[in-house]
Amino acid sequence: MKLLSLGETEALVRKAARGAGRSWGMAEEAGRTARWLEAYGLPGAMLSAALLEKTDGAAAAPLAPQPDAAGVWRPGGAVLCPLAAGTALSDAARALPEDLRLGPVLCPLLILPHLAAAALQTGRSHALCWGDTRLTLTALGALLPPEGAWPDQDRVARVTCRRDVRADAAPLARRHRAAAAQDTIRRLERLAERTYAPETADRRLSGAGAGLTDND
Amino acid sequence: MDARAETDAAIACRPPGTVMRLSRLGSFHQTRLSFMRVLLRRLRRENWRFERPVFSIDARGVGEAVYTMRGPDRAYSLVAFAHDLPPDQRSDRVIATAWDATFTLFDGVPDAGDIARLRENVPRQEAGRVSDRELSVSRANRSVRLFEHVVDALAAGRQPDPARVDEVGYLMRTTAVYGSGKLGAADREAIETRPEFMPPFQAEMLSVWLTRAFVMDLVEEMARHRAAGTAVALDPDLRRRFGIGNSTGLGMAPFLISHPILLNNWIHAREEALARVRRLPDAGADTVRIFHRMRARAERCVALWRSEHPVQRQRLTALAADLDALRAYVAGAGLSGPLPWDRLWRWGEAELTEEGQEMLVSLLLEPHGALVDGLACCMSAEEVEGFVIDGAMTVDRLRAILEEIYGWALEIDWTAPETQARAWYVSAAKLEPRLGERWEEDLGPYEQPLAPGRDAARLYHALADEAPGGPVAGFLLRHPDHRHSVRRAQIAARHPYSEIRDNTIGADLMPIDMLRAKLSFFGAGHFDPRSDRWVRINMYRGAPFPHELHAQPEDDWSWPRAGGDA
Repeated sequence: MKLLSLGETEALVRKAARGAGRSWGMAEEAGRTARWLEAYGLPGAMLSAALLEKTDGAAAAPLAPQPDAAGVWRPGGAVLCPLAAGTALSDAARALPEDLRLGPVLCPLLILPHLAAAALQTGRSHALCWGDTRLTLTALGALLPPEGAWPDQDRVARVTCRRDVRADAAPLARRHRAAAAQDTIRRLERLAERTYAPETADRRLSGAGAGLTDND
Repeated sequence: MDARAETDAAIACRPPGTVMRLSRLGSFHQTRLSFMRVLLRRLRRENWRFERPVFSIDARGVGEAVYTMRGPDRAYSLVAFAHDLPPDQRSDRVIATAWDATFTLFDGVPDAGDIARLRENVPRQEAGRVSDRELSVSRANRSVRLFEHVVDALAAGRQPDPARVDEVGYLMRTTAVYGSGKLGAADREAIETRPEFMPPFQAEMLSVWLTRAFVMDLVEEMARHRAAGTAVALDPDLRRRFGIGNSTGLGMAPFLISHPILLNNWIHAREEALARVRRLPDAGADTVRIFHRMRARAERCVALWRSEHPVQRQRLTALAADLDALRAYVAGAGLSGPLPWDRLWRWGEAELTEEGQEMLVSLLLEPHGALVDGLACCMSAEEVEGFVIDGAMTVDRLRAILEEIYGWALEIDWTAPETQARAWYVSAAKLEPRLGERWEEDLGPYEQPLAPGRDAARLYHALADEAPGGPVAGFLLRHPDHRHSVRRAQIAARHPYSEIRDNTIGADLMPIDMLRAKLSFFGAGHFDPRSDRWVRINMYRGAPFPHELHAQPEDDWSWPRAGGDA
């Protein structure tokens, strides 16, 4: 494992998301999402790498949520992207039903930071539930210890977002470092590299504006 | 409305449409609110103490040193590594791989184990790795023009030639100062609740101030090694005339665009300070005296300011004329009568160039520390607070915001090639921001999101077919491509100075305008553009050194003393 600053983590995932074809606005969301999870000691970088590889270059619409007749958020295609679903949740925070079912969704833990944003916007507690697991966010968007086992995170699931749940435990501690496996970092860097313009001799001279001597 | 409220309403902060133009941002000068001055005021008031636990430098100027400042609750140490760099490897470019000296600011006082770890990493800069015990990483190169002259003179028992000292102004230039989480250093988030780091960039400014002290000690030590029998130390007054140089390129420019709330808070604090001074009903004798003293120092500052850049040379000539006009105006009209500062300001707005007007802002703030210095605490920002999008906002409201904030951009014909002549990109070679010619190179796929005006115009057109009362959330679900611009627009609606109101990718863009705006908030002076995209500056010129901070007057260093000036 390598320790990264939260800023490095966010920047790496943002660039990787852009490299994987996301818009800049969604890439920013991806970076923030990874940072938020890593600050709670959760594998934000690893899940981001998994998600971005699985959705590399994919069109946005099939991965985005569409409410069906029963109000369940279903993917336009086969499976939901947690960033698309999460941002939609946060964007619609004030208009969400008490119980919102959505799925199937990739890497559902990546929804959690967006539900925290919804909690902050509405001043109400929220929970992300799947299987026996419930992950609760206080009205201030802080994460409580999980009820049930930490979920098998890198997997497709159907989840429920619930509002106004009990949230009286002490929130988990946050930290200022991220821990990522070298392999995770390499995978993210591989995607991030696509955002860099290849070097040419002209660019080296002109791009940074060299001209006058810089050794006097 | 009582008289006070009427004055406050009549004398408001300048509108963003006036302030947030690139040419004006590129005319800013340091003020009382600049971060170097904020730092030194705090260190002095809180009685921070200086120690130098390690100083081991050989005849070639190679070695290590530790410079510690000890405050009421914590200590911070600059750990310096001095090298012997062959001249052909010396380059200010960020792509350099070797430097005359490298530094890190350590959280506390390092022990031998810490120093050993840092010795393996700090001299390698980007190729090394630091930890969350470190708050910054930086490097510096010698000024070839001056360094040898000073060592030679001191070794021979003479003081260096003051004219040459003023001509160059520094012995070393920093060529990069990395903070907040870079290269593994501590995130700002981890230290931002410490009172000493609440204003922006305080760790970086502390590191640079201690670097300046180290560099002066270094030349004196080298002179002693060269001629122990004859060598002398620098005269303390002459010594203070050395600042620390800095060479800044494009890497810094995108920062202002990618930190909109921070930019807003910097500008807003400065504008609020100006408005407060303008609202003062009268001018006391003391403040008038200080104003005149600082005005004379400003003339001296311009007289000492050297640049080879044709644009800056013209501007300096005009600025000198502005200061002549200012002297004549205050000699004639004086500073008596009601609202004297506002009257002066209105005269300046009508009569002075942008450089002159912005220098007048700096001068108006000078005598009014008690009124404006407290604003420094409002200049940091939590960018994350602007991150969440309000999806309930209606399309109509978003459209109105775009018209208000980006009206200038909606009037541009973005299909005209010159309006998008440039593209910001990151090079694969050094991972640094650069500016390229969009139509001559295939840069489109690599473009960074640093053209808020054009992107806002695109968003505006995409909204044309949307139902006016519909929520932004629905639009974003179908158009994730515009998420970045919606976020910026919502931030700008709450933070009026967050957005530069000019084209940042046009053929006529001068990136140095963005660099200068940021560097002026640091407290830099002596802007010397070396091209349209990199600039040299001087930092801490005239400032006290750490060992004499408490023996020197408070915050009285950032303008050079004029003749007859106490």
